[in-house]
Amino acid sequence: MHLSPDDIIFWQYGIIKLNATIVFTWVLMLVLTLGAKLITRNLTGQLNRSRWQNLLEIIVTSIEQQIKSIGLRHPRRYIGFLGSLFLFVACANLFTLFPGYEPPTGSLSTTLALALCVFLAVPIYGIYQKGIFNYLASYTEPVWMMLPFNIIGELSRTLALAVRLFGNVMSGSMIMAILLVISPYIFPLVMTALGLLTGMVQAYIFFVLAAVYIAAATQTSAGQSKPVANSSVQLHSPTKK
Amino acid sequence: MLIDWFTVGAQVLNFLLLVWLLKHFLYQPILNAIDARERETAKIINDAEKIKREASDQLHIYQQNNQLLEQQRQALITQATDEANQIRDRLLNKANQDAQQLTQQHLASISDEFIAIQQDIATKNLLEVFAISNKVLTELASQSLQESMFALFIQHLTAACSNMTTNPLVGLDEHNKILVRSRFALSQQQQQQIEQCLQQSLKSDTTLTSQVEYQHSEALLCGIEISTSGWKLAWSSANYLQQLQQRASELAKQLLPNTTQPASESPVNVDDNGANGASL
Repeated sequence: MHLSPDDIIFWQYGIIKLNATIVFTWVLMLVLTLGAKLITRNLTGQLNRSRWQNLLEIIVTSIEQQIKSIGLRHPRRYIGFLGSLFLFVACANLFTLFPGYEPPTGSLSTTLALALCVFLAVPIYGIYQKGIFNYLASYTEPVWMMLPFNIIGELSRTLALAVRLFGNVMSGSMIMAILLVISPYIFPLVMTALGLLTGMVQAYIFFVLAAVYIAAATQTSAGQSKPVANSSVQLHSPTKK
Repeated sequence: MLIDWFTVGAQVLNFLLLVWLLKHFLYQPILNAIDARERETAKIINDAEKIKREASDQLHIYQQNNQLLEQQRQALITQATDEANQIRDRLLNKANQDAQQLTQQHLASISDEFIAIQQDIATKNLLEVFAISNKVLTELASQSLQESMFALFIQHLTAACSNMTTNPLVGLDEHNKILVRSRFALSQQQQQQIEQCLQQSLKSDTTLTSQVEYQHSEALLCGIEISTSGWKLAWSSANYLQQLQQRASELAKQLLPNTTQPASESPVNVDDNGANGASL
């Protein structure tokens, strides 16, 4: 039994290798891109539109509303990054329905890569919104003595973001494998349904946390609404940590 | 080792590539479509608002026009009613006038007809009376009655001849005829009395025998008549009837003043000889 899809290697040349994480990520990318391309091929700006266009519009506008409700005033500026995070994680977890599929989010390398992207996106959006000096000055708030703590907090939350997603997905896969051995008929079905729910919740949590981090980095002292305070509370409510 | 740094780097690149792909193929087209639809919806709403305002304006104008037309209709109805009433009154007045005129004409016609009938009846009565009188006098006429009347005639003739103004022989020359008419033939003695009376009034030696002419006339009924040119003396029952006719005509004129036909034109005055007795 593999603890991570990184261990499933299809091809390797030196340090360059093609493992299941990368391959299934490409599959996901291909499916998402082709699906988007096929559906948006016949988009219309009129009142009458196709069901698939309606579905995509619901997804996109829901993401946009969520970003806006978190406190980012220009949601379209962030929807590319944050929406892709949500869709990638959600699809990676939903595709566990297919036999033989190994979710890339069950790899700590993938979750760490996503967390690193968030880690880099936060200062980039913060500097873009506030300027580099104002952004760097935000690490000294409320007093300069908090600077090391803020830096530690920045690193730790990135690590927590990666480990949380990895732990949830990996634990779900492990539990599923164990239950298949113990009781191969009933419990795996229930746990699969529970895993779908958990996967969607984890995708939402990852998306919301990234949005909150970016909102915290881009908020100014005046005129910018505060990010949703209870978002962090929701982080700890889900079960398996 | 749970973390494969090559895989981490590859996944970062993969994710960035996915962000670009989804932004290019998913978010941008969908958001553009949504924006286009919102613009279309806003345009439709604006157009609908504009149409609504125009419809409201048109409705207002229509209501004003409708109200104006209603007022005009009421005015026209009132005017037509007034004109109809005027025409009705005028026609009624004319009809009343015509009816009154016709009634008056009818009454006048009835009155004229009534008068004519009355006149006709009176005329026929008179004619009947005259006819009866004439018949009576004709049947009663006789030689003895004529002799009595001749005596009275001689007296009147003598009286007339004694008066110069009524003397029939004044201005009479030998060529003028003296006509003596009687119902019955005069005897020789009576002719001599007439000639003698005329001769005495002439008071000259001229003989009048050749100038006196005697005739019989049944129109005299009973009596005798002498006439020259422009003068006549008669004493007969026909004269009584003529006087009776004249008085009856005068009475009819008094009783029927509106009659269109004068009494003088009635058959009462018809006379066979057309002469009135100058002395009577």
